[in-house]
Amino acid sequence: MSGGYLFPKLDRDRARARLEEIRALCPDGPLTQTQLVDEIQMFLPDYTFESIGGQTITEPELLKLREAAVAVATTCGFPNDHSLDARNAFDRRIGKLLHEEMGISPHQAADEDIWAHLTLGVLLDLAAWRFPDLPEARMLGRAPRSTFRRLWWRAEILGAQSWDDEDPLFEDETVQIMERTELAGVPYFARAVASAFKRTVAVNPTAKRMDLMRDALKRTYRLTPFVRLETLSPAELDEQLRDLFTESVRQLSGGAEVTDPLPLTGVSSKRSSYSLSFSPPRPSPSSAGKSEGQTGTVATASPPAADTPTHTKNGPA
Amino acid sequence: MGSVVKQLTRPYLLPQEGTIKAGEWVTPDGRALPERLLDWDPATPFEAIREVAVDFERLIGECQLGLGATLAVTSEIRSDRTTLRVLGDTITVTADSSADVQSVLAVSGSALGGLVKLSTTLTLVSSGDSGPLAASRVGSELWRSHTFGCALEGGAARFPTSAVSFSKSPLLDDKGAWSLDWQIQSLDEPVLASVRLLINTDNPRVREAIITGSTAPDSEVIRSMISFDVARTLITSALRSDEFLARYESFPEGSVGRAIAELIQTHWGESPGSLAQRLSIRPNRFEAEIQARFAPVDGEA
Amino acid sequence: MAKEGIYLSRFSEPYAPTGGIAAQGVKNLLGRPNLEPLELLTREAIQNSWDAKREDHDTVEVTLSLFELDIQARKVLETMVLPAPPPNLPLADELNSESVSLLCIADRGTCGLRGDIRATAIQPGDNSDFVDFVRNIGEPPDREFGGGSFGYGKGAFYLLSHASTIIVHTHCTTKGGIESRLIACSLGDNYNDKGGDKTRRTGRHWWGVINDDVVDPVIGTDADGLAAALGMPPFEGDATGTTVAIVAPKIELPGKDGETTRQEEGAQEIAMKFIQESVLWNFWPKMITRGQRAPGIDFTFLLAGEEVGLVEPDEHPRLREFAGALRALDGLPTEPCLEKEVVSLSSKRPKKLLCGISLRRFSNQAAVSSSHLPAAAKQMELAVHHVALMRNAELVVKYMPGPAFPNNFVGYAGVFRCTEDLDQVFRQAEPPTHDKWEPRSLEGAERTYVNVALDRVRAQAENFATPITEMKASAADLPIGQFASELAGLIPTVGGLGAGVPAGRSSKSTGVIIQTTSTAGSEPAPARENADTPATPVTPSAGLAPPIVEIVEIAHPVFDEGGIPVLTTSFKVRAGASEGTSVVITGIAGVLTLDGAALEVEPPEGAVIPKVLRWISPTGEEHDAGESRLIVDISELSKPWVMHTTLLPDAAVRVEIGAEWVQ
Repeated sequence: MSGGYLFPKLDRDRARARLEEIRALCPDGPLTQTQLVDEIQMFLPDYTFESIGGQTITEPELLKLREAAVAVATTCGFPNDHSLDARNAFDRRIGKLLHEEMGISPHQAADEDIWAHLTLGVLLDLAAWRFPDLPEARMLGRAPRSTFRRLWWRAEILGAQSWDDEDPLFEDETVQIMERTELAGVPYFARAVASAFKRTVAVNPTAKRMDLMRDALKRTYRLTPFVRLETLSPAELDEQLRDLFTESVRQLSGGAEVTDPLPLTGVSSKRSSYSLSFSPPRPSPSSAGKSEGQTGTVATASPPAADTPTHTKNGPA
Repeated sequence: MGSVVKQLTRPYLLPQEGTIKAGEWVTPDGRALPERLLDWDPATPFEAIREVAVDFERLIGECQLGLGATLAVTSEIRSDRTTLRVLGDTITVTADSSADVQSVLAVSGSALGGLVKLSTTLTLVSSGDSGPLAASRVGSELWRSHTFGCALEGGAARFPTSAVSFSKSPLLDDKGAWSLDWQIQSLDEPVLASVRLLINTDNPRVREAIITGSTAPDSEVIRSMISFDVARTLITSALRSDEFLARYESFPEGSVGRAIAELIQTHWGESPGSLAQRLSIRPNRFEAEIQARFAPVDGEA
Repeated sequence: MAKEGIYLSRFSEPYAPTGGIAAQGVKNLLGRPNLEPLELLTREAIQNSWDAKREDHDTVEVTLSLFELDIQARKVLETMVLPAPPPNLPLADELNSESVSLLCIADRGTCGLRGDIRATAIQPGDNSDFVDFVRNIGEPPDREFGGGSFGYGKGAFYLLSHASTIIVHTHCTTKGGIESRLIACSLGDNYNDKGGDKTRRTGRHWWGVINDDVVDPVIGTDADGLAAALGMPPFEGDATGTTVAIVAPKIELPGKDGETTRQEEGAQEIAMKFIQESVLWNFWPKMITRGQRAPGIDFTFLLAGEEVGLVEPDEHPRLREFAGALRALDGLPTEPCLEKEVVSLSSKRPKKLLCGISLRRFSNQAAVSSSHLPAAAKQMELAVHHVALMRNAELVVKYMPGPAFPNNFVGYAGVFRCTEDLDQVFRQAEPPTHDKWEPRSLEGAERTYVNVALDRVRAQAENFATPITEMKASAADLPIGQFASELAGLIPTVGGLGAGVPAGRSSKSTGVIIQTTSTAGSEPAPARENADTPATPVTPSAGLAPPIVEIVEIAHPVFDEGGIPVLTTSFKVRAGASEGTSVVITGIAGVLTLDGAALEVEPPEGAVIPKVLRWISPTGEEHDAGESRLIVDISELSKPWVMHTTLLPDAAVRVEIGAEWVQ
């Protein structure tokens, strides 16, 4: 939704310069937490805001966001625990937090400059803890590796699948889903894949997760050039995906017994969280009425645009 | 040295050219969708519609599908900015349905941006009593329109503007209409950081007037009043600032000072110093000069 | 009795042969501050007093005494202190007017005007307070104090006198003990003597004791006697300090019409009230207790000899909030308020602690109404939304307005105080009137400090004025792109995202290979209409144009002779060569993945990979595909050949057919 906050932006050149400055503080190794905290600023010099699209966020609000992020990071082991578990927990929980608290739209979240500013200014210490070498791909805002950008997008695309602490997707699995727009461009599709994967793993505990995901995605991507999986109903899509995963389990295990995961139940039939009800054209093209009557899918109500439901955070399960 | 031809194939029969015909994309008000939407912003829903005509009998013949086959027409919009693909509603096509369907895209602008590409596909829902070379897998694509590109965003400037509820801000009077949020001390700072026009959404007339495509009767008047007020505020404040007069040629690019200096240069073409003098000696006459350039009321009959 | 004691003599300064500063210029040194002369005087005089505080005293006592001279005192003034008024000085008229008043600013617990009484006797390192204040007026300050710069502030005394005349009385410590000194000074306009040698005079005059053509102050009990006879505040015991009496003070304040009239009814009461308010607004930090610390200045106000009570800062409807903010900055307990905040601000580069800021939000008191208010009070007539800026010396430089709440029910007051370290830096940023900080007058890091500090205090005030709303609260979701584009003309060169300028995002070229999608089942894409054109650049090799593959029938499923579904493609090869030349035909089938533009690199486990199954000649002769290569004589290629490839039910396959000359 575009009606939220505008976040400060830092353009790429300035972001690079800023990163160099930070690195220069301690050329020989990781910066200390004290050094990092000293560099934290809610508004970096030369920040800007997008012209339109919301209300400019204020310093106290950014501070509040920072406090919340630090609190969440602390539950994951920040700043002293550098284990893989700590980092994975951080990725899940921070993604959820940013997605919930920033209140930005995909349009805004596609702006590398706001991520550069967030990473180099507001949440610098968290990013440096997560990636102590401060690599440019992580510290600046470009997709797909920018520290917070990728976490926000995981939460946007995968929803609860991205922050499930009980039965988490592993980093490698998440990356595989997120790296292709064929999947990640349609949250409904990406979530269905994640769900089918986890259910397959659950009933086939001996399957190697990483291999399974990789192989099943290859099967999926054989279909994507000519099968519009994302147009299918949730039940149809799930059935096709379960077949693919089950086939992968079978092939990978060399023909051992394979358990089919149970079909998905209780899923919403709404495929896209970005779709709106449509106001039909005023000068109606010919035969519009007939096809409407037959298909029953074209909404006839036309609420004013500003009040229509827009992007919601919780897509299909 | 030789030549190579490459072909993509699908494992089933496809219809011939002309079996499915797609009309051009039109906007809700019936006009052709342009290749560039100048006034789009993320708060603007993207709405487009096209007609698709399916010659069902010919199609099932060419594709060896059964008479009871069910097909689906779906349009998709993908944005290079967000990399999201958003699907329109699926419209089913059967032997009994009309040959012409309307495929609709109605998408929240917040999911889009940059360049968007629109396309429409005809896919298989069920194949009926079909032949052995016919598509059988649900979702199989039988036809795809070519892609229509439309630029939603480019590099054009926009004045930093936020529509906000003044009643929710303790600093703004609930009954105000608009407020230019800036200070003369920020001459060195970027326009995009330190100048912002706030429009009060609690004020229904102003609210209506500034919405894209507004047809409110006083929209034009209100818009030009705001524009004039913003120009006057920026220019007169700058001309009263010693800092501005001393440094008008040396503010950094993109800064407030630079923008105002350029605004003055564009509309007067003389040095701020002489304007400042006129402003201080005869403020009322100078006011008329501003009016002449930023016409709050259009003098043309 | 008035006749007892010493009679002073006037000395009018002649121009030195080398020239000299004209008296008028001295008064102009102050510039034209945006203050009533009475408030300016109060600020400058009391800053001087504070600067002169003795190190062995914690408190300075300041008495402001305004009174009309009685007949006897007038006689003393006319005959003994200011005899023989010079030309070009409005003194004579004032002395002859209906009434003559004095405004005395007396400080005690201060050093007094120390040092030698003659400029010529001052050695480097010697104290020169007396000479500086009395004789060197208008000369650049040779040293700096904690609050004001001494050289300029004294002009305010003369400015406030209708007669441009003051009387200075001081007790200071000398080698011989405490010494009392009294001298009168005037700043008039220059003139030439009427008689004699028509000596040219600067307009600076002193009344005192003339020794060897130099005017000195009257010393000792004679000095005290004259001061007492004029009604100036006395010195108790061994107190030191200074009293400056302004002759015929300009106490008239502008009336409602903006005009100033003298002899207004009750003018002295109004003036005293105004002086008190000026003192309060400018010196409240020195008037409040801070924990165990007593106030820095103890003020007494006398009107016609009677003490006039003062509203203490802590009782003042406006200032008590500032006082609270200052106490909070020192970590002291304060009265309750709606919200408060104390922060220390640092600059990042260079790294330095800059200042402390304390803010408090409260319910605004009713508007303060009075026709005569000091500048600061006027700013806050309706509501307080200001931050008092002060250096470490805690004298208010100015009140910086922050954003106001629109309805005035709620206000906020703040105090900004720079660190002791930076006191000198901020001081250097002050103009002679000490009423603002101008970072431009500094350079390098110092400029950065002041700039950053000012910027931060502004931001801090703004943030404080805007209570945090819920995250996600917010801007209305209104489409305003069109309107914002219309206004973009006001910021001509700022970039943005409107689609009005070519996006500059051309779709990426697909590379040198032109890829055909099957033309049936899809609309022919305009860019792909020339699908049959050879993709590889055609360059003649050995004088022979390369053979060109032409698709006759695009790939589609059929059943082969064994009843197996396969993909079939029929093609011709065009070549400008004669019989006997052979062509190598290659066929490749690969699985497409993702969006159909990428070839599969590695198949899924156990998945079938497509291949070329066979070639069928125009005569129906089958050629096993073998290595997917076929060598055919050119004569056999004029009619369509057919290639069969594997049909995979679960994959889209890309079929490539190539042709080249046999080398």
